Amino acid sequence: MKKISKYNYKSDKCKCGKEITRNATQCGHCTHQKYDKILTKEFLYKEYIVNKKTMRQIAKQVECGVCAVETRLKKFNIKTRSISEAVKGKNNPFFGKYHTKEAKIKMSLAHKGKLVGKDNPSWLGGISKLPYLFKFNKKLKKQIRNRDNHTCQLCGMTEENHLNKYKQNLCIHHIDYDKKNCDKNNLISLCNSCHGKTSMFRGFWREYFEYLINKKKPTREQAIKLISKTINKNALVISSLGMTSRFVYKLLDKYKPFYLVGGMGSCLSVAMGIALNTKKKIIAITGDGETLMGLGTLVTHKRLNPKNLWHFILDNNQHASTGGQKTISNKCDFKSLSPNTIVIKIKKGKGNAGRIPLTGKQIKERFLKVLNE
Amino acid sequence: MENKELKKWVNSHNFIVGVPCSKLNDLIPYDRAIIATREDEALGMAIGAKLMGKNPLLFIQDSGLGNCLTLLTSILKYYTIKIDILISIRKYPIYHGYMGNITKQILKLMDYKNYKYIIEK
Repeated sequence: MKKISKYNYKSDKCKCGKEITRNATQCGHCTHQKYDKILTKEFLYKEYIVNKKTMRQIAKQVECGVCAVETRLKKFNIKTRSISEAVKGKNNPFFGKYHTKEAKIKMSLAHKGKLVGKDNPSWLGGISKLPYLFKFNKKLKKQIRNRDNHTCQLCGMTEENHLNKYKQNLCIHHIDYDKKNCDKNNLISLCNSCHGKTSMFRGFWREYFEYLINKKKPTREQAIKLISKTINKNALVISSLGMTSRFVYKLLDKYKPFYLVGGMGSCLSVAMGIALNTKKKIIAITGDGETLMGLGTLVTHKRLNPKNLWHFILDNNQHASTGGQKTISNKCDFKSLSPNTIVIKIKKGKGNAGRIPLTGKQIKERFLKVLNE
Repeated sequence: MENKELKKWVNSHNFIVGVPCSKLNDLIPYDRAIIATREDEALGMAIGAKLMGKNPLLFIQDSGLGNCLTLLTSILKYYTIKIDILISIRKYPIYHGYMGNITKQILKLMDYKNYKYIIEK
């Protein structure tokens, strides 16, 4: 038996012979053929780019939907304007107007007090206004600066330079962010700008300083998991050749990183070229043998100094993928060349990770897809 | 060098990077160009800019071509990326001459066929 619908639509026939169940005059295939004759590539180029009409205006002119225009623009590879581009200057509805003083006061009052205290998303329970302990005095701070040789443990800035620049001694940082814990293993001396960095990504810095103070070395897997704590929603990952790339493929493949499988010593320079041209955060992971090949790049990194580039060096003092020959990274201080690097010293050994099965074209296309999202 | 077409072509790029050469001083706008320490580093930065959708230009000397041979083969060929390169060929002094004579043959060996050869008058 045939199914009969609830509503009694007329069942007509189109010119081409197809059945139409609803009250339409033509079938969908025929209407699109009609549009194809009018919306040619030359017509769209003339109206959209030369005359600068909007999609909606063209659709009204031809008497069709906006979607029909949009799909054809994509089909002919004509670049569409974004919203911010379309409402620039005189096209903006607010061009030449301004708010009155009363309206400004009204707006500020409406938003006042909305993000203060407990309503702030990064509220941690009012820790910042708690007082410091009596134990945490000048004597203890002096002992810790003496232990750290009067240098910043992250960027290697000396105390003399710090006094000239900021007119104060080096800051003392609580590693587990607890003011009541004044144990010597919980305190470390940092410069002013590095101390500011530690307020973000607290999970990463806590673990990193614990490895530094206790002089323990993580394995390569643990180190890459540590780095993954700094990865944001919009971050891009680039990894160098050798064992680092293989382990990044094993652990962090969901971020779709760019593996530089060839090109020795060029990972940081490629990352710098990317960082100079976007506002997204970029994370470059290199090994010690690779950075020693392109030492000059560290100095260029210091001079150009793109703020959105984070450079990590996994230092284990050997060429792991070729059989464990020694490098000279223990004689070289990377921090003195560029203060923006973060060196993580890891255990020796190769570890278990296979080669990357992707081809170069696949890696590039996957990476470019992430960019356009 | 007074070549107006070449100067127009250089100015059409929006990310210029390389290592300076005395013969190219009139062509390159040094106020918006980035000067790198080595040629392979400059090529690396150009590759990064290309991935971001920019139109980069690399300018080097002929003897600097030897420094970036690894990137020209194992990155540009492997990932299929195309970049504009401006090479100045010098025959004097003589320590430049050895490389200057075989630059075209090296490009042919690496299968880069799309190049223009301009002689200074």
